[in-house]
Amino acid sequence: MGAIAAHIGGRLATALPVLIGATLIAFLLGVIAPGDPAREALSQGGGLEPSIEQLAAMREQLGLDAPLPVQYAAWLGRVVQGDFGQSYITRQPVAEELLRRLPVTLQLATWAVFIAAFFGIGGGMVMGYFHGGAIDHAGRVFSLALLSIPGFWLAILLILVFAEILQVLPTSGYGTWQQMILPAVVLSSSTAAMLMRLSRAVMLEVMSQPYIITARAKGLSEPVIVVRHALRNMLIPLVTVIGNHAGEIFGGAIVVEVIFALPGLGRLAVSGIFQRDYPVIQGYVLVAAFVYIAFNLLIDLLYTLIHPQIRFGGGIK
Amino acid sequence: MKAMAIGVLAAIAMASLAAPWIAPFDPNALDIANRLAEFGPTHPLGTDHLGRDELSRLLHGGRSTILLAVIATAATLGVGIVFGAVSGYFGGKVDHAIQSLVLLFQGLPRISFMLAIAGVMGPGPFTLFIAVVVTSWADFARIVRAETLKIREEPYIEAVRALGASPGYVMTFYVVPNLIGPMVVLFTVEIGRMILAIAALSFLGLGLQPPTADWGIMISDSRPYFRSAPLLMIAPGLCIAITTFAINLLGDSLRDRLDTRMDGHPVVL
Amino acid sequence: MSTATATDPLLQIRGLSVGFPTRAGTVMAVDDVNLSIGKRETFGLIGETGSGKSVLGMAVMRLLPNSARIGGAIMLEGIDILTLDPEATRRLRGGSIGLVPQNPGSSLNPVLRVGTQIGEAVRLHRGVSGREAGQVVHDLLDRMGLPEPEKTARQYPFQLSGGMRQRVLTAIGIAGQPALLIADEPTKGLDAIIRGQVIETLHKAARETKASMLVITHDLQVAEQLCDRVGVMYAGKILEIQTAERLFSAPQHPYTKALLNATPRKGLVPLPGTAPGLFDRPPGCVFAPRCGLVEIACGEDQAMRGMNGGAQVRCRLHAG
Repeated sequence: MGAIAAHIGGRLATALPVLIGATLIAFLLGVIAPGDPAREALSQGGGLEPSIEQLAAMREQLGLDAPLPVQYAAWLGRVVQGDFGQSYITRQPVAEELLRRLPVTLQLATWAVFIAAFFGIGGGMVMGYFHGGAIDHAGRVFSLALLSIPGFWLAILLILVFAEILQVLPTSGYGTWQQMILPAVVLSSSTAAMLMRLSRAVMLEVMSQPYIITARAKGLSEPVIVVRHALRNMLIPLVTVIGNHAGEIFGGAIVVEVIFALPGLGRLAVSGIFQRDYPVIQGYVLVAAFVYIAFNLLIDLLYTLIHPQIRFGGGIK
Repeated sequence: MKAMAIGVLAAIAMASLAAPWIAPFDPNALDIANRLAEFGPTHPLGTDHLGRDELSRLLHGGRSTILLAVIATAATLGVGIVFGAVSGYFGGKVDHAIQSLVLLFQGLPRISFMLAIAGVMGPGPFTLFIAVVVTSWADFARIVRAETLKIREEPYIEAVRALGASPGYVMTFYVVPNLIGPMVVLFTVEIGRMILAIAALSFLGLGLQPPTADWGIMISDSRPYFRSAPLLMIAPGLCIAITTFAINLLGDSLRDRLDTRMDGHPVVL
Repeated sequence: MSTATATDPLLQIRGLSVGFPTRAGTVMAVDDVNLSIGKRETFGLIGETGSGKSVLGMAVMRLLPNSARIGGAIMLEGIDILTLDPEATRRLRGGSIGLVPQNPGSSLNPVLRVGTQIGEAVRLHRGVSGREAGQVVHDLLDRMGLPEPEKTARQYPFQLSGGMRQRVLTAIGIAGQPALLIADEPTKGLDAIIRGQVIETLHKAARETKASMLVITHDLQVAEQLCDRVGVMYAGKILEIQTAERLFSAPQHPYTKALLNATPRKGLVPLPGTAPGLFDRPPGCVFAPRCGLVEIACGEDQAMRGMNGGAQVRCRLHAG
């Protein structure tokens, strides 16, 4: 068990610099953003145009005259304490708004990851098992088509078919599981397609391994061979790829949330952009980076659980 | 399949290039009286909500996105090649420094940062271009580095070096030319993704700006009318999907040729 | 076992041929092979890489890919196993015929515990489950000479040495108490000490389970130490079958002689030329292009002929 701790510890050690890098980029986004935070702070409540003296005083109060590294340190200190600044528009703390919306995006992304993993890996296994056959060819064309369709267009098409014509699912909104189906399916589509193609290749690779011959020679049935012997070995490379793809899903959530009117982080970020609400954009980037890194650590933990060699400290390869 | 993909891409490229001459109307000519018109002899595919000719806008609609995708992918590839080749060729501290940067950028959620960078700098094609390059170069650099490491071990590189060639000379005339094969594949595979990303951001209003005749913007424009005039939404989406599909097909066949492992299943003997 | 044919045959292979269709036509990996293995007999099949011996083993296991074109008959206790339906084939595998596969390094599933992998075969073919199956697994490991069977059963393959993995694979092979055990290249890639252990383990496995054994190997020493009778395979055909003792003391076929002369003991005399590939099998005697005794008659295919002393040889020198 110490081996897992060591492995995760190593991953944390590499994740930390990435997290710091993310905060640095988020900070720089605030620096290059047009607009003057001091003016924004003073025009709170929409009063008179602040005087030059007032601006200078506020600038000093906010530490905007200090050199950038000092500003960064101060800003980072506030971020670590959960102070992400105030929205220019609502005057509310950004962190609260982000925290309110995070569960929506997480729920959407989790659904999407599971749908993608289920259909992607399942489809890829079927394709790989019957490689060269009609199912395989159809699957390859289908997955390539799915990779080529714009997600936002697929979303509108699905709304047209399922909500308008068939009227079996709601068009948009948040709250019920029915409202999650279409957004999650759209969000999962490209990851599912990618996983289908990858799983097919991994399935072919695994099924040609000598231990599959051993399993067949024991007289095991094909379903047992595929599920017990092949799938577990396939998950080792696939799980890592799912982790890498979490960024695509989290980013794709922006479009999906806008189209399906889900009150998530992505929609907040888009409205933040249009309203030039820079603290909100900064906060969004920070949360996105944090979630992405955390998800990949989770994937690492999962990886150690399915990979006995790491669990028992044998090292890889 | 490959010939079909090339044929489709050639047709799309020709139509896009010739759009100003073959389009029946100015894609931005308004005709409010004729808004949301059905198919007809004057407007073969009807008109949009501002009475603009749908066919003309479709013909023009790929130009900006495809051009931007090509430029952005090429620029990203360029940055990736420089960092990747330098990193792989020189190794040591340079490699370590560049790899740390690559790890950092690969550890970030790409699309989220792309959106934020483009958003903070203000929506538009140029900021989108910058956002794409900043967030995507690391993937390219990593692949180029791996390829460079392979090439560096080739005996002919050793031979040229032994002749006293400078690192710059070896890089320019021996390493980079050998990178072209894999880079063509990478370019093809990435450009499909790039078109989709640009279309999505244009759809959101963060990429190309109206009234540009652009497939992504057209889908966005037609959204309020998708019940009454679904063709206005379906047609531009199909254009994007067909373009990307043809590119992906081509990328697939190129990849199969360069990397036979993808499809090679050993005979069980 | 003094004769070349098994007196009380368990397995009889009649006119077996295995072809693989390719773009350049069907290649014959196994061509008109006849052999029989007696009850409790250990039969060795020796030959170079590509001679078709492993394909023959896989054919007996019914583990060839679907594309293989198989002709002839493989009779196990009077039943032609080539005619079995999928369900009966699965009962055959591991039940009637056990396999000890080659490559101990990669023939065990890396993500499953050793006990699980042996237990699968035990549960499937012995009709036991739960604690009882676990007991059988421990017993098998113990009999294969693995120390601390309970601990070994809980371990993963990467935690075992090459020799231990080979023994685990042997345990899997005999887990279903098969009548026939096929060992495919059991010593390939192993060092001399482990090789000795493997020979001993296989010998013990066959003796304790009273199983017949088919040992497929390119290792002449293994064949000599382990087998009662030996068949020599070359380019898909069997050229000679003899008792092990006589094959190594009085080889009959020119190829067998050349093969033995190439061993360190006989002074490492190399065979001239290379074995024919799958696509360029010569007409007539397959060994003729490399044989020092070629005559015009070698251009015609020869049948296996029984000789005085029990040997069977496929060579015109022994005709009539």
